[in-house]
Amino acid sequence: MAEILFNPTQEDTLKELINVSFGVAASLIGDLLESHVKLHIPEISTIAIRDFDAKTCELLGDETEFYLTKQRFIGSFNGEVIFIFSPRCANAFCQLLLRDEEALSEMETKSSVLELTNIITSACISQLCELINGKTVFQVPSIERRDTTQLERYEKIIGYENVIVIKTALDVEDKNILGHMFILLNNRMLEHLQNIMEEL
Amino acid sequence: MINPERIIDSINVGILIIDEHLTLCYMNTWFALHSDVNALESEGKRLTELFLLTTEQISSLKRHIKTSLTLQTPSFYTADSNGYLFPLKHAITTQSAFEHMQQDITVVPYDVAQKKVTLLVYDQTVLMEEKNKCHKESAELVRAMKLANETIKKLENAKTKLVKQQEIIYKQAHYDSLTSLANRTLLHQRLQLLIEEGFENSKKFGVLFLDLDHFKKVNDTLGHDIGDALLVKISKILLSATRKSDTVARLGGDEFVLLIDDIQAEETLIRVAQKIIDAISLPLNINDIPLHVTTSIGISLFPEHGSTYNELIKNADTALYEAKAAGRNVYKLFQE
Repeated sequence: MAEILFNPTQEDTLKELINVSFGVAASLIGDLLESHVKLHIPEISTIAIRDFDAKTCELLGDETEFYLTKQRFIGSFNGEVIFIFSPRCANAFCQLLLRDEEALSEMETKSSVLELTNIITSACISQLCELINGKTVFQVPSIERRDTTQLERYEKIIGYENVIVIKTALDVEDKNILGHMFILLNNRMLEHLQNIMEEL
Repeated sequence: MINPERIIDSINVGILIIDEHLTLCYMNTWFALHSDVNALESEGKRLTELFLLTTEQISSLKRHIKTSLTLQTPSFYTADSNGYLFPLKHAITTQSAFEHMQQDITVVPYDVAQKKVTLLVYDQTVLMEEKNKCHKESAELVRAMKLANETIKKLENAKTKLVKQQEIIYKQAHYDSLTSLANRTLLHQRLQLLIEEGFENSKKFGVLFLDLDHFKKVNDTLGHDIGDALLVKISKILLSATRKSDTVARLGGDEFVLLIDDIQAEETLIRVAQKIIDAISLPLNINDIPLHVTTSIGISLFPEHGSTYNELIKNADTALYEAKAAGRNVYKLFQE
């Protein structure tokens, strides 16, 4: 399933850049949660867009239900960021953000997840955009609850060929909140990114 | 020269400029009209003085402001997951599911040094109404599909039951209940079919009419249970002595008729008849009772001895009578 999109040098540079942007995001999330937060990246891989659904199922394992957020960014650097979270992780983050141990409503969970993904997406994409001297505008994100057993029901993603898959782990207090970030790029954007990584 | 203020006051988007403490610095006409607030008089006031905001809404707005100012990127509220932030009137004049305007709000950095942001407020009520309608319709569709599936399942069950009942009725009408052999009705149908095929393809077949010798004695001395068990045993012997394509029928009592299909000459029928006589005359054990029975067989041949059901059966029966007269435990071919 894995598709090699970056050579080892490019991959190292990409990891470093993402680490820096995740550091910025972690600091802000820590401020919002009033807690020490560690955001780390256990794994980065690349896949072709046709394997997106299969990768989603693989990452979720036995869990079938999940939250999926989508946010497009357009401009000279363009693409789309997708996040997936299991309901357990989404609820755990919502409880931390709202400082509420009770079971929270679906709207509260969705709203909290969007706040989290908005921060990570902004930090990460702004960093990559700055690197390629590009300009980008973020579109309004969306979130929905999906089921891996009914993936054929959802609209297929078009316009991209490549996906950078970043496993993200947010350590807050005694909680470990796992999510998966997918950066979707077309061939032209990928090539652009590869060239810049090579130059750095 | 363009006049930005005129544009800002005429666009269909609410615009607010606020600082990190939620103090209002600017409000455009669109927002003032939808909130019934005087824009100029409101400047310098806190949003919490102007609008009824919950603690959670205030915390959430402050988080968005912080995100926007720290990352210097937009931060988003969506109507989908938040509904609304400001209790504004919506523009819908028909009955709406929403009391307040559903809002997408983009929080954009305005002046990072002074910690000010711009709030762009978009009315998404119509979109949310449509989404609600879609959800409702989709839920109704799911319910209807569930009902349809249940009905289909019930119909399928009823169909299965009906097919089973039809099979039972067919079996009762065409098979003998004691031996499960073909009964008189099925025998008639099969024989009729053989006659038609025989005429069409010039094929020969034979009819073997047999009964057990002195069967009445078995019933009278050992009882009907033993008699019935004997008939079942005889049925099995007859089936094993014939091919699957042949028909073995019980007419009633101890009378059986066999249709031996697709034969070249009467020798085949004689061979089958002898095989049956030999098999039946072997010692039998019925419910631990040793029995020795014999059978007599009358044979008629299509088309030589008849070309109708009645003729063929009658002539085979006549031949059976001859076999009985000849001392039993033998077969006889019909003689004109």
